[in-house]
Amino acid sequence: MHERPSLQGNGIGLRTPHYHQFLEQAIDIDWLEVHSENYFGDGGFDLHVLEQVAKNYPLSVHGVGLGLGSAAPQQLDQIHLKKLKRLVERVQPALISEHLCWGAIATQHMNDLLPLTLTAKSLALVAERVDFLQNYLQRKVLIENVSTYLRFRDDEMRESQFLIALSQTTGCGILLDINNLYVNQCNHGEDASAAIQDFANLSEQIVGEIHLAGHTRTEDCAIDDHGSCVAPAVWDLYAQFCHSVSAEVPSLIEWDTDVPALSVLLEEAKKIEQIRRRVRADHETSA
Amino acid sequence: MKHPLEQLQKEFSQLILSPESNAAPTFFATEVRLTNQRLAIYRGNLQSIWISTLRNSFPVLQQLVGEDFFAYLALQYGRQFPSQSGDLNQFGSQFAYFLAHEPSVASYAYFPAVAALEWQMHCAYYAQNIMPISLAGFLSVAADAAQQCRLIWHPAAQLFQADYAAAQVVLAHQIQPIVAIDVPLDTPCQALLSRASWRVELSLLDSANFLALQALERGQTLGDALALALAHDAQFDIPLKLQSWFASGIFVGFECKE
Repeated sequence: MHERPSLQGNGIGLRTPHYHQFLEQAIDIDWLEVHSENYFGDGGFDLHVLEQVAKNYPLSVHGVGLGLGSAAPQQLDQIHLKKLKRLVERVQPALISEHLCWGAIATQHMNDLLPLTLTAKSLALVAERVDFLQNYLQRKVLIENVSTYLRFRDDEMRESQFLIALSQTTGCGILLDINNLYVNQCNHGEDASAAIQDFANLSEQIVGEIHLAGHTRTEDCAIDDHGSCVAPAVWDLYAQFCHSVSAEVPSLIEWDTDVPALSVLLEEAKKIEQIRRRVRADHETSA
Repeated sequence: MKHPLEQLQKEFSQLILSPESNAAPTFFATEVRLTNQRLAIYRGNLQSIWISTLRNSFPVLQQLVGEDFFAYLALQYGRQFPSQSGDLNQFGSQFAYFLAHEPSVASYAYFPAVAALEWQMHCAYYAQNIMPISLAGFLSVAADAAQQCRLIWHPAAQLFQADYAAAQVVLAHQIQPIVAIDVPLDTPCQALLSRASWRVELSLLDSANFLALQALERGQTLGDALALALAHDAQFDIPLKLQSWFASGIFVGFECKE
């Protein structure tokens, strides 16, 4: 399987309000991420911008609509797959990712990242789909943990265990969203630190990308709305990841709601680098 | 006993597709007092996605009916015409049909035409990028055979016609402040969609202009198309129209008869 060179450094999402800045100036960011479905058209301005931007920045193509864990229909949507492959061929992204979730039933798409039952049966289904996807694209893909508001009685394992087993079965990488770990900790009492430790305990590093985002707290819930700065508790978990797993995994600031000025995103991305530097310095001191 | 995955996902979908639910099934591990609140988050997400997706594709209709009523229409549409793709850009394809059969807007007979035009503009926005040809370029190659040529259309260039003044309504909403249209709403309209510089442009066409372009779109030769226009309007200004068509970037090539 053909594997592109890894991304390095810090990224932000490419969002419509910032198109012109990316077309007109050199922006100080290592790489960019886009939602694949936003560029599924045959042409048009968005795709034109992406093709221009791809000349100057490595890209990560992040899917939100494939629904790898949807039990029905039985096969992944062939039209969706074709559009994804066409996009991958067009912009040659360094990374391709999707979510550990489901999103459709036989009669309709829900267009959301819905929570999967964490069972051996679900694992077999998702592994089969990931295998198919990687063969179809002839590329390794990363699968991301999702934020959830509900968990199931049928669950047999933690999400981190599910993802590790998925990676071991299919060879896929993991896109670890630290904010989602924290949101799930708030919503279900899951231990985000323990999840990071699960990845730290592996002999081989499988996390190929990190997501960092903001969330909103309500009385009973944390909402993963990607509409604010990364919370201090999430930065702490990120520092734990850098300490215990790696400080070199490409890391992204995700901001999709009420997208702020580009400078705000770039400032957030600088915080990633500050933490990494601190961790590297700690490692050197203790070495 | 485990719940079959397909059945569980189907029941989960029904819970968030229904307007509300106070009877969460037993398959959730989340505290019972929280389950319905959490389901409401997913329900809210689904509804927000329907509303924001349709708002992006049908901005004029939203302005016509107002934000609240548009949200009501979006929810009705989402339930009656389930999304069939993980790509949300496909979601509004049946919206004009829905409006034509939706009782709450039955007295606004022009709404479906406006929706059809906005959907056509949405599709044109994402059409393939192909470099248009210029009039000078066409004439320099086709030379004396120009009249015998068939012109190949840009994928974003399309004709539109309706029994209502949909194009006038859309054009009026592209100006700030919005202007009143100067024809009755039940005036038929004919228009051209083009995309010379990424943005989809809408131009009203008179009958002769529309007939000529329709003939070209159907693969008739330039000579036949112009003859049709002249038969309809003896004053049809051929040089001016040719300049205008090619300046709009609606042709990407041509084929000439031997």
